[in-house]
Amino acid sequence: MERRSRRPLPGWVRPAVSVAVVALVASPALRQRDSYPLSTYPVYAEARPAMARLPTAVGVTAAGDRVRLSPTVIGASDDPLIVADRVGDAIADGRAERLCRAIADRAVAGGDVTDRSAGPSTLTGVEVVTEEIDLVATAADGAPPRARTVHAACPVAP
Amino acid sequence: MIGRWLAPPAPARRLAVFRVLVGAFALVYLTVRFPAFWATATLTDGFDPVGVLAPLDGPLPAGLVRALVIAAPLLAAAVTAGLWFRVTGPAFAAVLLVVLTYRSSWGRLLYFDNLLALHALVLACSPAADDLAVRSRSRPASPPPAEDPRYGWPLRLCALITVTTYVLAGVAKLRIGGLAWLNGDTLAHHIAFSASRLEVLGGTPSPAARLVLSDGLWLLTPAAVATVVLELGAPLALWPRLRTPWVVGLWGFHAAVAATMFVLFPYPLVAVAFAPLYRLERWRWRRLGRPPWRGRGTWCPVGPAPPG
Repeated sequence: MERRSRRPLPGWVRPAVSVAVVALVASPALRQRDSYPLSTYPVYAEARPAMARLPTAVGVTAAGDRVRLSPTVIGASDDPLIVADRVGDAIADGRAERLCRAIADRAVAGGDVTDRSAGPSTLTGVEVVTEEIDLVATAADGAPPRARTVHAACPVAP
Repeated sequence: MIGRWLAPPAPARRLAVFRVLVGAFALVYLTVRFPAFWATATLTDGFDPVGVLAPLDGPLPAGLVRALVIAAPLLAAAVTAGLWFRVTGPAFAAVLLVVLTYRSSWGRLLYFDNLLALHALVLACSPAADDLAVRSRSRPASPPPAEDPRYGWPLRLCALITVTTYVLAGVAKLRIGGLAWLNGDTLAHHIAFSASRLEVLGGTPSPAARLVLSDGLWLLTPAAVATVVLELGAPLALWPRLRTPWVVGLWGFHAAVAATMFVLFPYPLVAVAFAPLYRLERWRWRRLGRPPWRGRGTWCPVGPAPPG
């Protein structure tokens, strides 16, 4: 590309550069290798099954009920993508206990739970879990998880 | 023939307007998302460098990351104004590329701003500040540059990049998801997954997702087919008659994703991604009024630098 050309470019330059640029942008698809900013753009491309296992953390009340915690309490971020990664990584790396204690500390400090009927003082514990859910049923009707695997449990200090 | 199509004569203003749009978008984007970029300075676990940062053995020094994150919006402002563009244009493209790549170098590739980075790189190599640029009073005003292929070529290249990325997205859906992607179930599960993930993480799922999944599942099969057709048919947008229907369709797709999944692709949503497809100089700039910096310089055609 010319910035201050004083003579016209040879006729082949622009087509050649254009083809090279488009080929470069398309190259990840040929190499099947995703990167940035040259990408295969696989967003939403994968077939997602109807059931999913989602890592998260829940609060446990004195009555034994499980209540939702906020993303900030669970993962110290308001971005659910980041929070999901942090919880998933902690479980995969065997750091669920440490994450559980950090969540319990944040729950006490912030008093921030999603279920407003269960304030922080009513929480007796935190569990880092993986929930197996029916995606459409949960999203459309709020169906409860089919199963819940507990990776770590810890008390909430008063 | 192909050379003229790739580099149609265009007024300097058309390219300059695109520069202003890209620069202004980047300025707002980098400012609004400043905390997210700033936070990458202190990350330590999970560094997985990609793109131009792939050769790195470890994270960049925190001070350097912070300096780049601060410099990026400042350079975006300079590019928007066309200030010292021969320096700020390439510097902006390089810093932007590093900042955006660094954020995607922590185990999760993000796809929100690839086109912004690519368009900035093209603009950096172009005479995009020959018009609508702030110039010092010491530099004499010059008449608006005549229509020239060197103003049309960067825009055509950016348009080609835009449509190519959408074709790749369509190819990926069929390659990874197969023809089953078209039956709507995959789309339903993606919408439900985003909503459910928010639900279990204590967020607030989209009401639109609940509405679609409870009463509008039948919509998702035609929506899936339309999405793939629009993506694979993206090159048709290079023909003026099909340009606006394609843009409206793709914009609708992004709007639907934002409404049902709370996932924003801001560059196409504010239509800057599609801007190089249009004759931007036809906007009525005179109605925007006089710029606030009028007393300090001039926002006007500066023309190419005089020879010698």
